[in-house]
Amino acid sequence: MTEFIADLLRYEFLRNAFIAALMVSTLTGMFSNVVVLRKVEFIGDGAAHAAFGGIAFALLFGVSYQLTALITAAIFAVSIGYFTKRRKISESSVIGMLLPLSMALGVIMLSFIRGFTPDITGFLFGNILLVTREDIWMLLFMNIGAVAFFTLFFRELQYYAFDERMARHYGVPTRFLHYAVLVGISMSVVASVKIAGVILVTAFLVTPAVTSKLIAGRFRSMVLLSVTFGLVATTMGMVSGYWLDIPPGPTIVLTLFVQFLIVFFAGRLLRRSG
Amino acid sequence: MAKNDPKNVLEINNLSFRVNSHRILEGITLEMERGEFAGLIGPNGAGKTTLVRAIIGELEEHEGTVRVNGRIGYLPQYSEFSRDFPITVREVAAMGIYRRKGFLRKLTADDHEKINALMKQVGICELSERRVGTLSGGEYQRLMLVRALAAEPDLLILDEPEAGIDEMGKASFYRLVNDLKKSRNMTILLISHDIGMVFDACDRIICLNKTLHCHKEVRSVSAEDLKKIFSTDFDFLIRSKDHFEREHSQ
Repeated sequence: MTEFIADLLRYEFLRNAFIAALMVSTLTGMFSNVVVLRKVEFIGDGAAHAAFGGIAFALLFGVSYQLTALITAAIFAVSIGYFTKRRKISESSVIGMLLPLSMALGVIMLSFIRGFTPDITGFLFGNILLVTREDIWMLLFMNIGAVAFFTLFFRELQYYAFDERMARHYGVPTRFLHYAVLVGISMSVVASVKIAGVILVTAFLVTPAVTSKLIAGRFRSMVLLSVTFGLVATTMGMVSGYWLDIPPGPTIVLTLFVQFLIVFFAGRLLRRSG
Repeated sequence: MAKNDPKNVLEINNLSFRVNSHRILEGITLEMERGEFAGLIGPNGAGKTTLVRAIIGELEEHEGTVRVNGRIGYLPQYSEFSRDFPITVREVAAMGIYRRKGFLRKLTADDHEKINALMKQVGICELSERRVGTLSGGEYQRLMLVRALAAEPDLLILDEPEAGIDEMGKASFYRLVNDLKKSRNMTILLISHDIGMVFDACDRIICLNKTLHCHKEVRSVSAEDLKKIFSTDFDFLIRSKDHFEREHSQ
């Protein structure tokens, strides 16, 4: 641990990666609550795969991937909302169609790149070496926005997640919340790409809230616990990844799952003994 | 056009709704006065739920007009919900206040007092800090009633409120609704398949089967009125007929 802290102070790339990972876990930890309570886990997965299309577009045209990935993920998320609300098609059907579509477009665009083909493994599974200072600034702004959103609309989000129809009946602006959450999920996905990659990002958007839901009695405590679980898993994942010389993104995902198992079985033991 | 009579809480004028060419509701004209307690009955597919959706403003692209003079409190049909959702009874009850409070307004001590009073009135005060998922069917329906009442409604709509409640619970629930009606002079529209309960609880009956067959006092409803809308449901009809023959003989 001491060695890890010493290297954190010594190497900027490691510092950037650690700070970015902590901010990613805070951001995804917040939105994971809405994802899990609304049972829209595959939206995060779909948005992540949609972001891949945006990344491929950026690589092909040599532009910033953050913007293109954010746009494609947001288009994906909003399209799900649009098709499911307007034409009564199920969310899983729309995701099932759009997810491979975006991946297919991404692969087609990558095939047009002549000469040096960039290594896309880092985008698929995460690569902390890719994290820059600009990423940290972007994450900071996203976190500020997300904290403000959750603070301002806390009660509204709780009602929207619990019973969207009745929340709308009693005047909660559910349509605004619906699209704001979808955009928030897309932003979380794009922000997490370098840490977790598009394949593993779903774990960040699902596991913390599934774990916290097991023990939280209130929505407020669930949100706080999700963020805490995310931060603890990120710190442990980064340290053990450094210590064992294995990729930190997948290590964080494993740690998140171990947290889930501990809470799940501890709860069962407590119920049996109590 | 609807009359816009101030003594009417609900005015529906020539309401029709179709899905493609399929007729769901046709030419419904209906008024409900303040303080009226009406039961809406009809067979499956009669359009009861569609009519309720039109009243609460969920139905888009219908013909005719629906005017509600005041606020609506709505107790929806019982449906399974996520039992492990981290929300307390008090938080769900407070949802009813949201429209009155307005966007981004926090609950005041006065709001909590009102919710406490309502929970006490319907007998769930001691459950206020419990998670909603731990409630029984009857307790949950009482909570839904508190939420609807928290909106301080002029029109209270109860959509099959007996679903998920046992027989004892049903009787006690309707006693409670009747007490509320007397104490608050609310207009209540009850939708139910339990004809016996509807005849027991309500002052007036609205018979619907895509079109409006009748809207009259309970005592004036005849077996013929019921036969017109429940033509195929023979057991149902006999039970209802027995019921109000008993009523008429008293």
